[in-house]
This record gives sequence, C-alpha cells and structure tokens, in this order.
Amino acid sequence: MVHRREVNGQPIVLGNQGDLWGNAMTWFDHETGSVWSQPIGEAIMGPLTGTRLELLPSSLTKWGDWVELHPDTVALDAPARINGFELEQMAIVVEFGPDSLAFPATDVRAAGVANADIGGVAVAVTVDDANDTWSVFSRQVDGRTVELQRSGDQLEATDGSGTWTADRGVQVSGTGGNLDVLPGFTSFPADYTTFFPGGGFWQPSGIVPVDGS
Amino acid sequence: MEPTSTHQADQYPTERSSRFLSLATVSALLAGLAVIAVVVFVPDQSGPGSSDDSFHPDGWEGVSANFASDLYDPVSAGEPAPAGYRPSIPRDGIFPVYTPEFRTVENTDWPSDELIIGVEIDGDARAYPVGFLIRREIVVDMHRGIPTFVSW
Repeated sequence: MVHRREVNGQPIVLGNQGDLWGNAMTWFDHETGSVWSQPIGEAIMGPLTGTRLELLPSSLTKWGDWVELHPDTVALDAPARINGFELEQMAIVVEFGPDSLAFPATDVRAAGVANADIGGVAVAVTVDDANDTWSVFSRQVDGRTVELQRSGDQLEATDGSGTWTADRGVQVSGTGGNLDVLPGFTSFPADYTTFFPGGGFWQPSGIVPVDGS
Repeated sequence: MEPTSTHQADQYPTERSSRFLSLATVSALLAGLAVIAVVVFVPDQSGPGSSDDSFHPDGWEGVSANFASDLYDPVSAGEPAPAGYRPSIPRDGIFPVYTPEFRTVENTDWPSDELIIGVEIDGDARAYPVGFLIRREIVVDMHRGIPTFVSW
C-alpha cells in the first residue's frame, strides 16, 4: 500500500509500531506517537486517533511489465527476491470515502473483469491469468461511464467506444486515452471483514454484504 | 519541515537498543561450565543507499530514524486498545527504510518476474520490490515533492 504521509498539509514520519491489529501491521508517527492501522490508514490510538491518510494509486505488478510501461522508472536500491505471495488466496480491496468492496482474486479472474460502483466511483478490477497481478481502473472515459467486458487480453467497452489492455489499461482503439489507475490493495478476505464490517464482497452475481444483511 | 539527515539516519537508534536485549539461555556443557549467551536484537539494515550508483530522484536525503526518546506510546501509556490489538515487537524492531535510494533500470538486476509495487507521480515512476518489502515492511519516501509511505 502507498499512502500520502501528510496530516493537515504537513508531512509526518511514520515508523513500525510492531504490534498487530486484526493480524495487520501498525505504525507510529514520530510527531505524536499515535498508533496507526495499515489496512485503513487511520490512527487508532493516541492524539491523532481518527485521522486518515490518503491512499495513493499504485500497482502490484512484475518488474518486467513495469519497465515496459515505464522505461524511465527507477528501482529502489535493494535486493529483490521472488516470494511466496499468492494472490489467489486474497481479495483486492477498493475504497472510496465510507464505501468499500473486496474483489476475491479468483472470482475476478474467472469473470475476466469486475465492474462495480464504490462511493459513486465507477471502477473495473482485473487480475491476470496467472493470478499474479491486479489493476483497478476508472470506468470514466471522456466524461462518460463505460461498462467493460473482457476479450482475451483486452477490455472493451460494451458500447463499442474503445478497447484497452486488460493489464495496464493502455488504449488500443477508440478515444479518451488510457484508463486511469485507481488505488486498491490486497487483503486476506478475513482481514477485510474485520476492518470493513460495513463493506461487501463483489461476486459475479452481485454484492454480498460483510454483515450478512 | 521534516528533519533531514544523511545515511547515518539508517543507523539504529542506540538509546532504544536496550529494549531489545533478550536473554537466550543456551546451555552448553563446555569444560564443565554452563555458558550463557546474550543475544542482542539487531535489526536487518541491509539495503538501500549501499551502492555507488544509487541516488534519490528528488535529491532527497531522507528523514531521521531517531524519534524522541520520550515519544508518547499509547500502548505503554495504557490507552485502551481496540479489540484484537496485540503487542508484538518493539517500535522499529523491523527497521523501516528512512533514507531510500534508487537505481536506474540499467543498474538493476532483478528478474523480470519479480513482484514490485509500482508508483508513478507526474511521470516519475518508482518500483519497490515486494521481496524486499516483506523483510523491511516500510519505505518512507518523497516522490516529486509528495511525502509518500510504502508499506507491506
């Protein structure tokens, strides 16, 4: 996850609190010592309790694909290592304002693309065939909202107005440019229900509320 | 303004090291003597800023890893914690990257299928490898003047 570490327009420095809440990491800020919860980006104890950090757009992708899309990228000076991260057990969480939805990766992959509206924002979520990477796109194109469907490696607007690559949202045909990338993050479904009790799980058949109502 | 510092900021704040002293009793019979080993918690600080060809795209030198020794801690102060809160390891026991540095694509030897978190702001794209984030969990960065915070 990538956050903007800024409170009331002032940068703050965050470190690792080292505790767990809902099995997820916590931070502390060097300014007030408040304790923050990673999945919600919000201070849960201390003077800044209730303050939230803005989640910034980011991608979870493969280095090779990222370089192809951003040839001038820089890379953190750090050793890399293939890891045992398995997206298929996880859900992609998208959150706008008080509203959020979790998109189980395997369901999204089976459906090709998940169209949804979250807090008034029209989004589309995709997962690649290998269950390795995901993307969240805006469905606002040229000031209109499109519905997207999967066609091989591409997403196409159901009104025929354009096509884009499914992995990066790069425009292949039509007008309006590339799809905007929106913020999202991965979570185990159980953790999502802990942190977003008012949320819901996206399913091809509709939204299943976390609270079961 | 945030306090800035040089690479030395990545050095562990020694005044807090005492919190990480733990006694691992290793009983060994050596010439009839029981040997007690003291294990000091030393956070892994390998990583960014170590190579000659690294730099920061913003010219940013990072922030100090040191925080006030009397910095408020709601947990030790006894503030009520939300249900399910579990104290685990001390602050910065897993040591964040406070002074990140970067390399060009040409100077990076990651495999193409290495998972990364990619962030692009105003045409400035940066990649943070998941395999490294799993170990260090946090990178404090400045990205085109925007204070950013990458966590895993």
